[in-house]
Amino acid sequence: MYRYLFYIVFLLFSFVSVLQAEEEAYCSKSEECMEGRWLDLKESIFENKELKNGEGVIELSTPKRAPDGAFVPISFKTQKLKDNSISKVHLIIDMNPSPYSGTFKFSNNLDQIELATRIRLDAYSYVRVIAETQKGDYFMAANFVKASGGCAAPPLGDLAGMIANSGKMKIKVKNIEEKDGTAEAKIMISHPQFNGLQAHPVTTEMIPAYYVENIEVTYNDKVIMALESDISISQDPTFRFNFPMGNGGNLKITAKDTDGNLYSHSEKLALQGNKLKVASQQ
Amino acid sequence: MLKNFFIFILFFLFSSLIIAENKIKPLNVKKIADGVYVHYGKHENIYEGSNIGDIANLGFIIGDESIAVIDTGGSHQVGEALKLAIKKISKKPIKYVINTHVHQDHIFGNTAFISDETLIYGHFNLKKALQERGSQYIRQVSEAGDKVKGTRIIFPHIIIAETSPDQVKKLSNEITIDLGNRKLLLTSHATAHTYSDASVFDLKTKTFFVGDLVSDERAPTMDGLVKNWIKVLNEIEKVDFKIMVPGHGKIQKDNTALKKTRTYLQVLYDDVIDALKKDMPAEKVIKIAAQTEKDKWILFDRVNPGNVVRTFMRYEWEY
Repeated sequence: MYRYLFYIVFLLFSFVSVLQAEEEAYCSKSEECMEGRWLDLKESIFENKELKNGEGVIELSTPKRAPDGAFVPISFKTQKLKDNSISKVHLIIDMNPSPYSGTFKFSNNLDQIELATRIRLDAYSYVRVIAETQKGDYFMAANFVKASGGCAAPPLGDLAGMIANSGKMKIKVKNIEEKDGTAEAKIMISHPQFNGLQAHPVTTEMIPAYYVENIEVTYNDKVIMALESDISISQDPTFRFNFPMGNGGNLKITAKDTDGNLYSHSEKLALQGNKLKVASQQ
Repeated sequence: MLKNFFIFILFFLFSSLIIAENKIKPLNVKKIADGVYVHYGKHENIYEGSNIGDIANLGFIIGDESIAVIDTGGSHQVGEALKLAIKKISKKPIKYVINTHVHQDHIFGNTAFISDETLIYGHFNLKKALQERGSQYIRQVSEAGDKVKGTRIIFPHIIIAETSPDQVKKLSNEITIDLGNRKLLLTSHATAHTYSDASVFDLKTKTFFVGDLVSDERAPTMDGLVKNWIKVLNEIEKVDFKIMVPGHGKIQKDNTALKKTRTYLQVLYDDVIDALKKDMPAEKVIKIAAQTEKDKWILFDRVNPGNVVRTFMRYEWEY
């Protein structure tokens, strides 16, 4: 008699465990799966290098829950290091189709780097910034962000119009009151950033990928910010970052996209008193 | 003898557990006019917790010969529950399903109404909108799991527009359907809440189903174009109706909810433009825009940020 009871209990257990297994098939809901993915990424990008805790070196600001996966504002800030400086910042979004989302390079005459931009998040994921120093150490700050659908989200606007406007750029400059001698630039690049995962509304095929690959910003011919990136940067890539204003000069952006198009735009910045202004916007 | 009894009891308990969980109950519906019924959706976040997609107002109208359903809910299960509610009231054939716009909570019950005699109507942009968002919506539904099993995208069969015989030219954005001594006026609106908003007007009782063009209680979702939506509201404000059924919230006897919705949209627009003129960073705009409207709406903190983002994206390049 107990034999039959055993069979029934066994069936119940297997039924329940099959249900559990089904739930974990979707990585986005499983911590184990996400941890596994990060470890794989870490190994392939950084090999056996140690990623130290970024506290005191680099700080990452992200919303806890982003209202729209296609436009998630993030920013990072770095601190001055003793006898060392940060040469690169790597941006990784674990659960995105292309997790290694960008590499930022900065000129080293700034004590504190501050940069803000907008990214796409395809699923709930850790967003990580890893500062690489001149001496070869790595420091990481990571935040978990709840947002999703950023990669499949349809482009905002009319497709033909977006393509026609690709490469148009705008530069704005603001002075940072608390930091003498430092200004903040906002650079905007009009570009659809088609990621190859968005369905065309009429043909229903995927719109072919077409996005900005490289951006370089120079001030008086010296590179102050450079970025290599791909599909995780939102439509109309926009960046705010600070730079030493010096005595004014020429701020120039050049960008290249996956079609090989080269775009550039520059503005003359002039010092008026102790404020830096865009000459053409006065 | 005892062993067989035990097995039987276990089997019975186990199977009744399964059956009880899967049994769908008919939705609660309320008669709001002669032959017009409405189900009120819950003000919850779709698919979160125990929610299976029942967040929007759904309706149906009974004519002498047939029934028209206006919006079908956020999952196959909600659609089935709606169908059960309809069958309890009338056995007439459900010949028309009208989707007021592309959002999940209004279209995902369509699967429950697939039949040889049912045609699905939608805005002339609805199919395109579903094609654009399809993969995103399906992903969301698959992550919601078993509780919304069977939910699929069903495209509209008929567009709400009169076209020239060769289908090339659009002659008008309105069509009429007849449920048997009961004409309904269907209208495709210009871009507003989404790019696919349609409304249904019952000539017999002057009941006006406006979809999410108007929202009551629940924070309106801005997924189209703010200024264009205000323009559309200015137009529908002039319609002579007895009862207005918004996509969310209570039925209206006048334009109170319409005005509330319009005020919110104007504040949203004004705050975002003001922020853009001041070159405010995106993160800050998302935190402060339209906050004066916060206490007037349920789920404001979940809905408003997305509205701000989309408005910000639309206008950022103009400042």
